[in-house]
Amino acid sequence: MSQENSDTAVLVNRVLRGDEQALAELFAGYRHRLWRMVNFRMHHQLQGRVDADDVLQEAWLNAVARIDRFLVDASRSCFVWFRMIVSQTLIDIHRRHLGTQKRDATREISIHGGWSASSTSMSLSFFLLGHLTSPSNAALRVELSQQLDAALTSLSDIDREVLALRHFEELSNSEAAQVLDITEQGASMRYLRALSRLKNVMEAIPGFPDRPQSR
Amino acid sequence: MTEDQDDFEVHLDGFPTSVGDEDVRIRLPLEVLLSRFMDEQRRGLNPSVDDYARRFAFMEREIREFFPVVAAMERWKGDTELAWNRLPERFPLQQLGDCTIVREIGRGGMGVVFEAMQAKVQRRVAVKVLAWRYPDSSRWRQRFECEAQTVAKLKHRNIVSIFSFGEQDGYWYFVMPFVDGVGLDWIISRLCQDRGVVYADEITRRRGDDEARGPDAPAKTAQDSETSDWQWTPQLSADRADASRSENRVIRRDSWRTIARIGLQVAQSLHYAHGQSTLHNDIKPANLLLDASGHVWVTDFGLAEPLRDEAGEHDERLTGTLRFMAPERFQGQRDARSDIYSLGITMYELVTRIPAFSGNEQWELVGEIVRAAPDRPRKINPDIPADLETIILNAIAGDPKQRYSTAREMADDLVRFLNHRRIKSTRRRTIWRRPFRRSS
Repeated sequence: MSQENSDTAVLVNRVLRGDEQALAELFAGYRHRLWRMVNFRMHHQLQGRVDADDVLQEAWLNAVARIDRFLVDASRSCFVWFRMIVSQTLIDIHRRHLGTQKRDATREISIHGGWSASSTSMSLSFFLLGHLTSPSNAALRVELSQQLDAALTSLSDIDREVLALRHFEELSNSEAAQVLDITEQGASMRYLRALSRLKNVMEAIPGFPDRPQSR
Repeated sequence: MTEDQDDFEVHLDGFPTSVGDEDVRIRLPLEVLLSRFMDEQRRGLNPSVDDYARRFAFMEREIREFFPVVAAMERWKGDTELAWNRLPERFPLQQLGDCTIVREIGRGGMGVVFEAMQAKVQRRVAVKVLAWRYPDSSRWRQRFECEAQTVAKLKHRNIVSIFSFGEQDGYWYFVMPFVDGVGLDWIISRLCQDRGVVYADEITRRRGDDEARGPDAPAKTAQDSETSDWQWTPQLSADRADASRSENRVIRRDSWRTIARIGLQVAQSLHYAHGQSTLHNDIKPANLLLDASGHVWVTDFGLAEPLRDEAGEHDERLTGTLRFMAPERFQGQRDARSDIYSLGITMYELVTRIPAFSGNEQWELVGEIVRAAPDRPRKINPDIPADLETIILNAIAGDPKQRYSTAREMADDLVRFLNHRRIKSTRRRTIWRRPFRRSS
């Protein structure tokens, strides 16, 4: 871990001197996490049309264009900086592809503005359902997805978002705090609260597998 | 978790100290533990909730409450990552290892099956390509290799084994024998149509398909495949069936003995696999291929997991298709009898041509499965031989203890039925809840 960090520090120093190659290496190190994020955030209408790799390629060009901002913007976490750029790239791509629903597209992807309830929770319930039915069982999936949707909609936007960040994007508490622009303590509490709500939801669904044994 | 600042490069001239450092003190202790647990799980260390509860006894209650939720979320995420790499409409693949891709023959949520030629040995093979390309591949590689090894160990004339497996350009694939057959789901739908007969040359899908769709024809889209599992779809039209081919017939609606022979072959393969400590976990019509000679091939052991249970926590993944899933699996339990159940339900659908459980909504369906009281097959069609019905009912009893305890017992009864001998199982009537008659 410390090896990794010192490697990162060396790269960061090179980037600060304007070394694009170092920026590329940093980006490559985060690539799989960013890839995960893109897949999670991609609007369902774009899935199949836009490839996550293409989004990352475009985001990379945007990152290079902003290399001068690196010192100021990436000071807390390089990863969060890259993630922000990828997020903005994704918004642009959503706009481009879902032109007529421009406002919706923007709203759904924005992190702080909160996802529209349907977008995050649809993705979430998609996750939750994945193991339950085979992917072929779309009809059944939709059914359960609706139930979970209702349940997840009852969570606040930020609770839903914090679950997405911690689990599906695999962010650390500190990274989640930065993305959400709240304190680490706040993120920690938010996460537990959201988890607790989700636990109740899971216990309430009959036949839901992996249900923790009730006390 | 906390890094010393000393670890940083001395020349760090731009950034302030300890980038990304987490200040553990201000985080909630439970969240810190959860994060550690999550991290261990992601690294495949299989952390135990009990361990944590013991080590941090002062938080035992919270640990037992929250950790399983986190474990479940992580597992679900893992499973569904498979769905992320939505199948591209066309795979940019011509060559995988020493296999030359000929055409796409089936699609499912997990990947695509191609027909291919293995040049060196000049044999036709099926290549199952898992549909994701994933830069952070360690997790799936492990699962993939585990799956491959499980299947590779199985050598049985009714099990589609694998020749080899490998990775190329981030795509993982199995090379399997090419089975010139169709899924029983297709057979069932054909039996429902017009004459209810399936002919051998319909099953030899290769020719019919080649005419209809050359290798360059666009593959089906992922959306198409959402509605059904592996699709083995021969191109044919109803009018191709004619009387002159009657000797060519493989199965008909009332081919009870053929249906029994299908069940027998699957039961035998299950008996073998169970003996190798492997459950199939996803027996259903689409995973049973019938070739033109009436030979059955059990495929897609992709969801098979070793029989022995890891001690401690459940690692239940309800991955089979719901309608064919044994009721105990909703309680996170399963054993050989769960596969027997799924075979029984499959045979039920073969003889009745209607689903044993018809709920349209998820919860309806789960409820029906758990209540375990579908109509008796002979109530739907009195022509079904009573003994065949008994065998099926015996396989699909709601209570596993009421079922055949081994696939061998079921196979034995099917053999007895085929030989016109009395079957052994007779107790079955009790499982069908009827109004209890007091007068005797």
